[in-house]
Amino acid sequence: MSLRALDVPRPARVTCDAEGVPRAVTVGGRRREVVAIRDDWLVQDLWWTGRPVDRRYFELVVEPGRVVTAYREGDGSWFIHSGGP
Amino acid sequence: MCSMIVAVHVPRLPLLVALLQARRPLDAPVALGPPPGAPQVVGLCTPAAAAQGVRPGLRIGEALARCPVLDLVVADPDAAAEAFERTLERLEAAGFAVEPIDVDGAAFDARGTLRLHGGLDGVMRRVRAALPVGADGRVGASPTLFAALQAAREAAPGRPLVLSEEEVTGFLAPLPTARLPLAPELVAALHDLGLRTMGQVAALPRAAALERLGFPGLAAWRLARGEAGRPPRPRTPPQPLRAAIAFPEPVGSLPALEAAARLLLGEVAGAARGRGAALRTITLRARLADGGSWVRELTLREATADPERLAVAALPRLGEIAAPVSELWIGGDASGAVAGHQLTAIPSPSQERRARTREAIHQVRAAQGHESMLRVVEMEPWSRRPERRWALTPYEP
Repeated sequence: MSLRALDVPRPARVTCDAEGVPRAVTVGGRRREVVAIRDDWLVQDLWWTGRPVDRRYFELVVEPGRVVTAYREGDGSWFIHSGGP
Repeated sequence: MCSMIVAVHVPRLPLLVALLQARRPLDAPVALGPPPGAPQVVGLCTPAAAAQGVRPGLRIGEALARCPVLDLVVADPDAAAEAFERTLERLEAAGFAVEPIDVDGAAFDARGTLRLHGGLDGVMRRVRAALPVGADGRVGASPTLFAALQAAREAAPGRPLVLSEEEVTGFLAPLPTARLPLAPELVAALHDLGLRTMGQVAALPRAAALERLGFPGLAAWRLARGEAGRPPRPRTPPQPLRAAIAFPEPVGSLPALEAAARLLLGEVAGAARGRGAALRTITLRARLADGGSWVRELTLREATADPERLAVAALPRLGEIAAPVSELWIGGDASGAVAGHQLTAIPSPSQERRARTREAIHQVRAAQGHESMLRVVEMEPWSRRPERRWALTPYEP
C-alpha cells in the first residue's frame, strides 16, 4: 500500500534563448510556443542527503493559453509537470 | 508412505540477536551475560570464546579468568523470539506446517511437501534457506518426531542428518537420558539406577520401566526404543495484524500522515473483524527520513475493531512525530472479544449512507480494481515542488 504522488514530472524538450529562458515546449511530439513567463523560482533542497534537489522552475503560459510548470535540473535536462500541453 | 519428520534446531539465535543488537562481530570472544536477578553464569558464547574454554553455565569469574578479553552482552529474549517467529514464517511460506518446539526448535511432517520441493533433498534445501544466517541452525529428519528432534540437535551446522527407520534405535542409543521428555526427578532416578544412555533405558523390560518410572517412564522407554510417539501438531499460522505504508517522498504534513494512518487502521480493523476479534492495543511506528524511528504503543480503554474509534485514539499521537516520515507502520493485538457491545436498533441516516457508500465502493473496486476509487490528500500544499503538494490515496468513506 502506498500513497501515489500527483503531478509527477515527466521529461520534456524545451527550447531556450541565449539567456536560458524557455521559448517553446515540446512534449509527446507537440510543440507549443511560450507566450509568457508568469513566475520563476529556484529550489535547492535536500543538499545534505545523497539525492540533492537543484531545480530552476518556470511557470509558463503556452499556446493557446495554458499554464504549465517546467523546470531545468542542474544537469540541464528539462521536465514538465503532468498538467503540461 | 511412512512419515518423514523434519526438525530444525537453532541454538545460537539468542546470541546472534544479542550480537547484532550490540553491534559486536561474530568472531569476537563474546558470551551472553546473565539476566537481572539470575545466577552469575554466562550463557551461549561465540566460537572464539569457546576456543578459550568458555562454556555456557560457567561462572562469570571463571569465564573471565579463562578468557580475559571476554565481552558479555545482554540477551534480548523478545527480539530472539521475534527472530525465531520470522524463521517459522519463512518455513510456513515454503509450505511446511510447522510445530514450534521449545524456543529454538520446530518440526513438521514433510510427506505432503516432498513432491512440491522435489524430494527430501529439496525439502532440506528449503529448510536450510529458511534458517537465519550465522545462528548455527541444524536440521535433522527421521520417521519419528523425537528422533528427528534429536537428529537436529546432533547434526553439524549446514549438514542435515537424515535417519532411516532402521537407523533410529542405533542413533538414539548413546544419547544421554537427560534428553528424554521426563521430569528432572525421573531423570535423576534413572541416573541413580545407573541408566545414563537411552540405549540402557531401551534395554529395560517393559514391565520394569513401567514399575520404576510409571506411565511417563513407559512413554520415554518407547521413545528410546525408536517407537513412533505423537506426530507433529502444526500450529495455525498467526496472521499478525499489521499494515505499513511507504511514502514515495518523506512526509512531514500531519494531514497526509493522518490520511495514511486512517488507511492502515481500516486495514488492521478489517483484519481483526475477519478473525472475529477486536484490538486491545495498537502500535504506531514511523521510520523517519533521517534514519531514526518513532514508536508509540496505545492501550485502548476497551477492545474495538471500529476504525473510527481507533482513529480517535491514534491520530492525535501522530502530531508528536518531529521529523518527516518515510514509512508508517501500524500493528495491533487482536486478543479482544467483539461481543458485549450494545447494538443500535435503528442506524442513523449518516451511518446508513456511509455503509451504502462503502458497499458501493467495494463493488466498484471488485469490478475495476483497487486503483479505481481514489481521493486526493494534501501533503505539502505550500511546497514549491508541485509533485509534493498532493497525493492519491484509496478512498475510504
